Amino acid sequence: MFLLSNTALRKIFVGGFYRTHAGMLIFIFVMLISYCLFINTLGTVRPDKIDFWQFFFTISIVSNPLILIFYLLGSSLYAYKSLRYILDQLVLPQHEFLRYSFTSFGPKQQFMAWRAVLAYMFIPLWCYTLYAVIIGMVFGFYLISVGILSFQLLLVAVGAYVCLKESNSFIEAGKPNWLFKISRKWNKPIFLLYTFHVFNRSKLAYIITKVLSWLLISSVFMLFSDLEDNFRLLMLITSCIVVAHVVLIYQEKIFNDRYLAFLPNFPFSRAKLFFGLGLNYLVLILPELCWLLTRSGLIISLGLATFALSVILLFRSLLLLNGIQVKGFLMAVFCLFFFFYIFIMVGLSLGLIPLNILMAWLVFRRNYLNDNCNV
Amino acid sequence: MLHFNQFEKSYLGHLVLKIDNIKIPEGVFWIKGNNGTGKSTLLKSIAGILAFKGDIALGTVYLKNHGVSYRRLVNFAAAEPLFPEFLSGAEMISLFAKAKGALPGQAETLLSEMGMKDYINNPLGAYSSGMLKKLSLVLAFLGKPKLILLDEPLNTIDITSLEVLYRWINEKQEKEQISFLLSSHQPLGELKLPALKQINIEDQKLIPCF
Repeated sequence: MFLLSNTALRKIFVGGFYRTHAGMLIFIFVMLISYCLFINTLGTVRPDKIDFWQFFFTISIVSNPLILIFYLLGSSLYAYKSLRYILDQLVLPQHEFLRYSFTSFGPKQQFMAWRAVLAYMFIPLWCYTLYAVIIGMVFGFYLISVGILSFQLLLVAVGAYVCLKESNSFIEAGKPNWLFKISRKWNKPIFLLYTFHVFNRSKLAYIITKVLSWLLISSVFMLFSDLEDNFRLLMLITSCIVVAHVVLIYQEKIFNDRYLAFLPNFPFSRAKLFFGLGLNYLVLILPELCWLLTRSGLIISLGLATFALSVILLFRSLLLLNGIQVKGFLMAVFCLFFFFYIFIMVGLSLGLIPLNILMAWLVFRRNYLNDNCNV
Repeated sequence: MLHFNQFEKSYLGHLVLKIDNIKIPEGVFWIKGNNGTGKSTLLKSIAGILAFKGDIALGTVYLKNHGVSYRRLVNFAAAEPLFPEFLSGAEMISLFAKAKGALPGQAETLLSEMGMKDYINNPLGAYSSGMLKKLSLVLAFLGKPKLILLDEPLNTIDITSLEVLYRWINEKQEKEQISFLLSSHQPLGELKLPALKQINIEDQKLIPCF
């Protein structure tokens, strides 16, 4: 029913979607869901109770209306993200050929093909839904289990219908968007262009990042509520805030490589380029920085902001390593996060700031332009 | 003018270009070679965009030791330019003019001669490939360069704009002694560029024909 025989559609939309969002998908589906379900919760849950909690979380989806609503909202967001990706790809010049080739099929065939494209994009979601539905069926929650599946099938069908309509409509080129209209008089420094790009093209990634950031902050507060040293707690929270932004850091590298390929030809010193990398993030994490300011005062929040910048610079410099892929980057990020945790817990928090900046500078200097002989 | 010293460029261990020790004098040069011979790689390396082994110098200014000064003297226009779609042409001009130290009024003259004033304030997402190409050419002429690198300058631009480009190259060479390296797999208008000399890329080497 959902077989996709059209190779071009599969490669352009399905393959492209997974390639583009690999970082986010790994982060959300592997790190977030697996972490929430299978982590040993720092001894607050006895080992014999772990299985119970795993089932409790999953069964909540099919039994607890509030969790169910969150899950359906998450599914809708995922559907929106998938649909947005298809619609963005459809207007690219290299994919215009679809408008005078694929559209020659009958509407029914086109609809089936789009439905299959979206069904393939939904695979990570299907896996988790299937898991929840099986558990739901075993425990007798038939109606909600079937309801979740039907809702997601409906999302796919509606998405396919929108794709069908859009691929058969005329391209409206040259229409300035809201960001262009409101920002046309603003001065846009080159090191802040990615921030504009986020608000232009990556709004959903930004919202998800902020939600994740908020979840991590709340989790740290809950887990370490007995920690008396407020500064250590805030350092832990700051490192969590930066880790929540790794998807944006990864996407910034892609944006720079694609749209600012001319930057290495600009007469900027290496130090300017190095610190310029962090400028976008000071704006992107501004909500969290403001929150830290209200909670901890000016001096401490300045220290925390410097720590955040040092971690961001280190993560960003890692992306300059020759041939680093999403998986390797995420592994490095979580190893470093663990390292920060140890440092903070043994009371060496402040030492992390110069250490991070030094490591970031060394990696940047050796790998900027991937030029190993350029030092 | 341009000095290569033990220059080597490889991709994944595969050698693309090897230039031991060559000095290219001032002038206008056509880098000629088939597809995949490394024309764009060479220009991007000279522009300081791609990494390579060895060194390149413009006079006494070395790319690896005097990166900032060198990049102020060398401008580059990509074969298929790609810029952030939410910026306007005017914003790109202002960005490059500031970085490259352009004189006041320089951009206006270039834009006017290239016939781009009508749409320069439009978002780049609305530009055609020809309009983007013309913008990238204008950007390459901003500032006070001593060497301008144009990668496939004939791609996608119309005949009128091409005439303007040829005139700019001749004038800049004669009056300001600015040198040009133009990569192209299509024949360049040798009648329009009387000072044009040729450099071939063959067997991963540069072979000057002058």
